[in-house]
Amino acid sequence: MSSMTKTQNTVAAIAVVAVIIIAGVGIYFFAGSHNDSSAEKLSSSLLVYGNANEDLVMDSSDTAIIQDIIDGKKSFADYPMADANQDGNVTADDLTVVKALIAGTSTTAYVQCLDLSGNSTVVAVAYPMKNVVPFGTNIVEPFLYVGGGAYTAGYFVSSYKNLEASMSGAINLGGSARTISDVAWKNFMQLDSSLESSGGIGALLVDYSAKSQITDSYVSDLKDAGIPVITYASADQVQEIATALTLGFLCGKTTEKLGLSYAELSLKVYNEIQSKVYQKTDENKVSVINLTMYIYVCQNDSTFNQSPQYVGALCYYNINSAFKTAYAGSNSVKMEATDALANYDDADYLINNRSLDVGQTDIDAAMVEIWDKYISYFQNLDDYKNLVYINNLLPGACKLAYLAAALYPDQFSDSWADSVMQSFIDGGYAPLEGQTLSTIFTSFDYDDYVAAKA
Amino acid sequence: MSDGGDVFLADYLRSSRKKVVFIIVMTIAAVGAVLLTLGFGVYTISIPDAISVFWNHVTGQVSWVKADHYVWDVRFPRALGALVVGAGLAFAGAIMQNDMRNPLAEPYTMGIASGAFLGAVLSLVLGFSLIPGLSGDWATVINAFVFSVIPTVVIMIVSQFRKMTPTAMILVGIALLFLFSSISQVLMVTAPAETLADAYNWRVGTLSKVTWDNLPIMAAIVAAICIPLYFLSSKLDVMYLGDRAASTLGVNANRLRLITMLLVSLMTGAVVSFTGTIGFIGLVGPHVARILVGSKNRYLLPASAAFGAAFLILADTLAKVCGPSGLPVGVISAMVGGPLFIYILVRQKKSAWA
Amino acid sequence: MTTETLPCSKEDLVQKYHRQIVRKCILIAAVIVGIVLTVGLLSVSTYDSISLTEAYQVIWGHITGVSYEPRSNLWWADRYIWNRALPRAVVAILAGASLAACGALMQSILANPLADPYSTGISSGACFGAVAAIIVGVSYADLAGEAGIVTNAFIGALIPALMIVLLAERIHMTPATMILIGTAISYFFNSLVTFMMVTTDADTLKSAYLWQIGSFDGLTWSSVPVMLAVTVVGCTAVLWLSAKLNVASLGDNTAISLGLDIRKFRIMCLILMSFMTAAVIAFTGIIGFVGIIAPHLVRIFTGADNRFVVPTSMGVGALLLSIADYIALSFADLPVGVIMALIGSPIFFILIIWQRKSTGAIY
Repeated sequence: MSSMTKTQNTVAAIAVVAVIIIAGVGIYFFAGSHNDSSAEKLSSSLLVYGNANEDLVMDSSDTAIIQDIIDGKKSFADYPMADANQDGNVTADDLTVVKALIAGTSTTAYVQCLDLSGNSTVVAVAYPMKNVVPFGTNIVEPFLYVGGGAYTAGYFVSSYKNLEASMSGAINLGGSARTISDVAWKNFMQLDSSLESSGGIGALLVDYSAKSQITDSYVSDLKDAGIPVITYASADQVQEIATALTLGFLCGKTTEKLGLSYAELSLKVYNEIQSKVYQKTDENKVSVINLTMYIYVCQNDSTFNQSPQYVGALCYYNINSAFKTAYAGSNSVKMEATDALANYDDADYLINNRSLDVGQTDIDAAMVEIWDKYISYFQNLDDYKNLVYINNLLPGACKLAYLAAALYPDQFSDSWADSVMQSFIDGGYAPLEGQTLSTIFTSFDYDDYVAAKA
Repeated sequence: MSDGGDVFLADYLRSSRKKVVFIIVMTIAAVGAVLLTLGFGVYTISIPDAISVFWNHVTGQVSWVKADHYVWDVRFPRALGALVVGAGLAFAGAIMQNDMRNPLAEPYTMGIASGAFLGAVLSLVLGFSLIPGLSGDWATVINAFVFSVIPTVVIMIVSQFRKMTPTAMILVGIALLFLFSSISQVLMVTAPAETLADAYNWRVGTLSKVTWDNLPIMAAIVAAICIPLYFLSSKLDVMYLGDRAASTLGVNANRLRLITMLLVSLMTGAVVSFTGTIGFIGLVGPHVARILVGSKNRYLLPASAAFGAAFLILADTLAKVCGPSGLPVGVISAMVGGPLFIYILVRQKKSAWA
Repeated sequence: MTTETLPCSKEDLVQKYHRQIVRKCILIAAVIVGIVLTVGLLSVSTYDSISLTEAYQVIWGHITGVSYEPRSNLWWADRYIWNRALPRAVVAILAGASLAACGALMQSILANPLADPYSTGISSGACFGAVAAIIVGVSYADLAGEAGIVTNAFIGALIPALMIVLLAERIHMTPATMILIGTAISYFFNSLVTFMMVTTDADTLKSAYLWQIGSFDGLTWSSVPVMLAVTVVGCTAVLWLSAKLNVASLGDNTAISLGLDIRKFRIMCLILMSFMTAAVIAFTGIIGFVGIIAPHLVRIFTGADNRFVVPTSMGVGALLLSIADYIALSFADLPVGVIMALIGSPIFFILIIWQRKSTGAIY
């Protein structure tokens, strides 16, 4: 009698527990929680046609899909990127192209990018790409990170000698960061003809934010010469990932590997940040005022104001309508007097974006000098101790990591951000080669200032 | 003494009194504007509140720390700076117009502006400082001052070798202006965009850099030069009659001209090194004053100074509230001074130039 | 003009006079030869990777329709020389001639040796128009772009002239008054320009600043027709008026007593000069010094007779700008306006220090 009861009791107990568990899970799913089950994972895609499944690589899964489409098992409409040679159909020719791209033999690659008016377009470029001329900091940097320096034939200006040292074998065409003068274009022309034996200039890479410098007469020269123009708006950290991945792929197998590792590392960091912040509601989020060039306040639609949103923070203009009206223009505004932000010191953080080259010898001294120089603009604000200087010149994911560590210190530690930076340093990306955490300016806040002054 | 003489004397005294009254009224306006301007700026505080915070600081009972900082440490020195700079520039303009006998003369006629700008550009663009080891704002100030004095020194030197009429001095000043500005242009054109913007903004002229640190220096220099020059006002009147006439009246016009121009250039250079080249006050201030008090330097000099001070502080008050974080006052003084100058030209009373 | 003792016979006098005229004509010819040499030898040689003879072959080949293998050295050289170097050389000549002619014109009608085409505020009006287009144009999606800047600058340049013409009805317009009004107008427009430049961001400020300095960058054949038409018509008009300019430069009273309606003449010249200058600076920006210096340099050799000064200064102006253009393309990648300033200010300084009253003194 007792053993039967015991077994019955056990079974009953297990049944009850099971029901509770099932009920609990059911309630959790069906009674509706605040959020979905997990953060939406960011993914990126290789922007070369033939990448039928729109993942990060061109591999046999793409050829398999193309084969299926040829065989009629899948439909072209579901895989728009399958048309590798852009002839409008998916045929065996596309398979040939993709196989060449996978093997690294020469063929013509079709790249999805922007045109100079900002519309999406397709550009044909000789694969593997070489003799590249990049224009615009925001595209030079990703290109160099994936090892493009070895494939650069010429550049228009190098503002950051150490970061861009991998380009130093190329020819300086002249001009400046924001202008291409007649002399610079003359040098560009001469470069193309001097490279005639190796096919001339392989491509002109353009940073979309600098597009106005490619004037109509330059465009007609480029078209008549048949030089491909690849444009990306890579100032944005998320766009930067696809840019680096694609440009790395295009230059050949070595850079393809670097591009892939760069993209995977960046996505990993981004998703790690997202997983911890996606649940924040507007009341929990911190507010950020972005500054640039030390004392210029960024206007509302500045690209700098995108970054806080990637780490789960709010831009201050979203919570203060006076600020929103004041900075609604199309340009950043200089802080004319030291009380320019006096009405806005309920912002949680002031992020000062500054681009500083790598290979610094004494970061603390340099930053203390900068801090002291502009202190009169900030020191009477309530949020003064939450002023953080962040290097805009870091790889996008590193910048987001340091931003997250600055804005949510209890969820992201400085040492975690440093570990992210270190993993990029160790990743074999040319601009960071030989650098250490003490030669790269990453971020600098009030605590760093106090420690450095001591 | 006949009746006619008495009437004449009474009339003369009355018109003199009117002029003195004008000067006093302008000065009171300037002082009043100082109190008014304490309430203007990006930081929102009402005028009565600002004045009471100010008063609290003066009597030593600081209660509202943040407002006290903005009112006492930021706005009050800026307002005093406006008075000092406005008075100094207008005074300098009156002296220059007297020396050059030219209604278009102003403190910057001798190439001071371009010299100061070159000095500032050397510091901002190249990081070059005349005194090694200085950097940042002080390097810019010292550079600007030293380079602003160079044109005047060159003119002094050239005038030792040949007699320089006022026209000749202006011409040499213009030639030096061209030289300096061409060098500045080369530097500006090759500079990165932010540095170019910095240099350009420096030239426009702003009072936002006036703090308790540099205000005493500016005030001391302006006072030290304007007050002695005021005592020369009757000699300046005589010099205005022409070099020959002056020598018959016992005034060595050449030497007086050189001395006054040198002193005025030093003062202008010193002021401009801190604030940048704020325009129009030196040109328009004396003209307005002349319309109201006549050309006699004993009244014209203080009247110009008073008007310049009042004008600049009102312009600065306006500048503080334009745009998200204010404008440099040089923009306002140019936008107001330009039309004002045109108006004066069109309605000029001949008697003012007697 | 000479201090030699006059010979007694009339024939000797006439001979001396003829010799002087011949000398002046030789000078004009020399200047024209100088321009031809500069353009022919220097301007076409700025493409470094081909030699001078190859450059000529390319030019000839373009005219006769030879085509080259795409992206080869000669193919690019053909594009560069025809699309960039030659238009710039042509613009340099047109702009130099135009500005120098306007400078001579202004110096005569204002009877002031320091006058230049910008004395009446034209440059500030053009600046205002162009900067408004650059700064406001950047706010919207690029509508008119380059064309917008040019038309704005052209219209803007004519506004000060219009104001002076309107005021001339009401006010007694002496040269001094004209300069004063021009100065006042330029103060006003410059203040507006400053306002726009101070409230924009650093990159746009740099673009606006570079426009103002004066540069030939980006000029193509499309800029040439307007400039060519206005310059040819304008310079012909100035040449035709040069005898009357001699009269005008003697001063108002003398001119009237010699039968010239000086006031109307002055206004007419102002309008002519405004169009000529506006047509140039709308495309290139404000190029200074050519207008002041060219006439003065010429007067040192030819004397003050405008019938020789005007054509010769046109030539000298064209020569100066061609040289500046060559320097800009070959050595220093600087805007032409800056190079002109660097060349012009020492020359101006020397002119002031070493002037002699006998050769058209500056003061």
